[in-house]
Amino acid sequence: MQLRVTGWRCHNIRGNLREIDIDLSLTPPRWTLVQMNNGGGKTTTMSLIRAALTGQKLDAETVKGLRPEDGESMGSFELRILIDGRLHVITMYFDYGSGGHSFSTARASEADGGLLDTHALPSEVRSLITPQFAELFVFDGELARKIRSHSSDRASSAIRTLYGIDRLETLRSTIERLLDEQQSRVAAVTQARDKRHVERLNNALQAARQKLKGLEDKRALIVGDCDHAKAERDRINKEIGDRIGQNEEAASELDALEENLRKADLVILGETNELRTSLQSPFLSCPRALGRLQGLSAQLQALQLPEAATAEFFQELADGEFCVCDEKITPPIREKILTKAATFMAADESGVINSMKTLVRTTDEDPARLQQPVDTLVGRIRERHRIKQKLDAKRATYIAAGGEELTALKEQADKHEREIGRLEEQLERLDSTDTTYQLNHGLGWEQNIPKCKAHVAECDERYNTATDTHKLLLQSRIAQKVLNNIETEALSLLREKVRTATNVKLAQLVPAERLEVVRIGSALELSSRNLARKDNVSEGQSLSIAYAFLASLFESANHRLPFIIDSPAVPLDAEMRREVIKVVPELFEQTIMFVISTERQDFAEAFYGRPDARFITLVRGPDGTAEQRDGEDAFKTFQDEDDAPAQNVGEAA
Amino acid sequence: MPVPSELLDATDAVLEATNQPDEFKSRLRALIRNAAEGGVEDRDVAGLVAAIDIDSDTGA
Amino acid sequence: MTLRRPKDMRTYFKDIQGRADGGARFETDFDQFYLCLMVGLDDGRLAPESELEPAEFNKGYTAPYKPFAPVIAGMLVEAEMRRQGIPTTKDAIQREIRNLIEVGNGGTQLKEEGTKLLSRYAARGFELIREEIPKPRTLEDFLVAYYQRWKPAEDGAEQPASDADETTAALPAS
Repeated sequence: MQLRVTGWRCHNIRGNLREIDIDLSLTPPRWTLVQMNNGGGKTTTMSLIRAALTGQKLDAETVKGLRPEDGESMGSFELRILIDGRLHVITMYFDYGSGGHSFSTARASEADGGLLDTHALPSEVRSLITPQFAELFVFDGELARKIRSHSSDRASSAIRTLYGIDRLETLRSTIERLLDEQQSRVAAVTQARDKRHVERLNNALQAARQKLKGLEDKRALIVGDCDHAKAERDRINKEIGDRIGQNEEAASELDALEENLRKADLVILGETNELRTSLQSPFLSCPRALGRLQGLSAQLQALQLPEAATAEFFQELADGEFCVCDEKITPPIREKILTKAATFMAADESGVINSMKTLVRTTDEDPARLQQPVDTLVGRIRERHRIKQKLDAKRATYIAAGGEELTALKEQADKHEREIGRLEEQLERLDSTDTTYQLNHGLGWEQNIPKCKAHVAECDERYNTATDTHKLLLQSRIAQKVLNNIETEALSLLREKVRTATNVKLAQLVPAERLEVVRIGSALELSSRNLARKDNVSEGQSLSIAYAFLASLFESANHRLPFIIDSPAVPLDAEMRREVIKVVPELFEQTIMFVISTERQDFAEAFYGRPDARFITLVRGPDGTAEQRDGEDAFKTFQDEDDAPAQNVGEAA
Repeated sequence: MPVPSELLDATDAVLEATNQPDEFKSRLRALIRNAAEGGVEDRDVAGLVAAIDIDSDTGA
Repeated sequence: MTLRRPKDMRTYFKDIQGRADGGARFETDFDQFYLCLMVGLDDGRLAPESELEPAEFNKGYTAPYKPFAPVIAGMLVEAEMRRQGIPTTKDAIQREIRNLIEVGNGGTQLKEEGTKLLSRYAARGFELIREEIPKPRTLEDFLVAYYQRWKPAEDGAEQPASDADETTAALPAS
């Protein structure tokens, strides 16, 4: 980003800033020297420039402090800048009565082109030019002290900001935010935020899986036992049968009974199927249906439904040119017909209704008619039951007659039968998917296989969801760590680069002392030839260090900012002035220097004759005004009434 | 705003010291570049994190 | 739109269908469904959708029931009129018929809405059957019991038309 100042305007501001309008044009000169009286408002102008760039809020006291002596009620300050070639005009309005102020921003090149009543510089500028950062290039001597103070951390944070290392911070906070969001999302399913909980979920999953296996193994055993019991039972029954069969009389009697049983079964089979078939008719399987449908038919009849006319009839009518009554069908009439059509049933629907009516009318089915077949069937079932009982009784008799052995066999068979019943009951509990059965028998996932499978699936899902979050947590931490390491490393490289460059410049500026920056930590740490650490520096040295640092800082940064300085040379002796003048102004594409008359010597005069330099002198006038005089001559000859040769350090010897 | 070369160098140095998969490295370089130039989407960051192998080193 | 089985219906009839001694069985699951439907339409209440198996079942009626499609359609209309308390005005009846009936829809002659309702009536019928008739071992036992469950109401006057608004039948166990 490139920033240039093209001018500013003061209106009703204390000092000599009653009406000042500095216009540097849209292609401002490389160096602008603004000479003012001491106390003529340099500091104020600097503060206002910073405030305009940063959009910071000024407190009431500060605002009121800007009020001119004659008590004007309102004032304003306007700064005109080019951001990447686009003109922005920021205006600050001061209400001296209330101490309030406001901003407006005009962006000449925007589509809306209009005035915004806020401080509305592009976001890139706003995020870069914080109040702290602004002090780096709208510079007064104060910063020089700050960058050597550890507590202010200016040096490192300047590097961080200017080289965009702070963007890594944004990435880190995004990672954090995404992790938070994901954790919130799965909080509904599980609360796993730490390793122990994840382990617990895994344990639950393993337990569930084990249980399922256990149930399935148990089932296999039961089935095995059941089959075995059935085989035994059948074998024993056969043996019993064989033994009994050895008794001819018994054999024939039992055979006869079994035959009867078979016949009875057959009859029942036939009659049941017939009954089943009969019940396919709704009139028979739902006794009240006929009556209700007859009622419905009657209602329909009374309402003359379905109507003879159908929706189709009206659709076709509407499509035609003429009505059935030979009248022409106009669009409004067509509309009406189609609307009406919607209220009629379609031919199909009518068809179904009519079919129903017909079936209802023509049916002769009567549920009462089934009474007899049902009664008969009931009788047959009873009869069969009786035959079975007889058969069982006969068998029992013959078994009993067959002596202990046979009885014993029978008992065994019965035992197996009971066993089978018990096992089948167990199997039912394991296998049942019938929810009512499960409820009635208190079957949970630990007793019932289908439920257990569902439970395993649920545990699996919970665990996987949790581990995904846990995994995300670990991954996020690693990412943060990598980014931290990159930031540290990058800062370290940049600090070193700036440090080296600073020292090169320092060697030029303060050659005698071999002042060096040993370390850029939170502050610039210095050493000099004689001392490993140098904490006390003169004001001149302090300024030089600051210039060297700032110049190094900005020289390879991607932002090209103007350098605006207040009294750049006052504390410097002649030699230093000459060095500073060689180094500092060359490094910026635009430099604006507020100077006082005593800085002309060995400093400002180095700019005389340079084509790309502009000289503005603001001469104090009455009533807080200032007269603006342009050009080298006015600049050279300006005499500050406060000038007293003995006071100024910078006077040439 | 282009990326300062020191940032790229730092990234290379740190990545070289890790065992993370190539996908992570490639994504991170791109992400850092995009962060400098101003355009980073949530899904870019999510993709970067997802590419991390937690069984590799802890990021040196 | 297909019909759906009431939950647990197949389990209930499992012994009948699993009979190995050659005894009578239902031909298809649809036969079971149908009897449940008859009970449900008569009762006039709907079971909630949660009482249906999620899987799809039959698209239409099996062969023996096809001829009765108009009757079943009529029974549905009648049941819905009863359940919703639809007055016997021309507009109201016509509207309800148009809502439910549509020819050529896989044989039920019903719109999707109507087919959905059939399944829910069947589920309601199954609820009642399960309450009233113990889990049957043979088809003959079941059919007899089925026939006999109608008897108490048969001997008297018609039950008065219920003008309850839609009440979905509660489950027997909670």
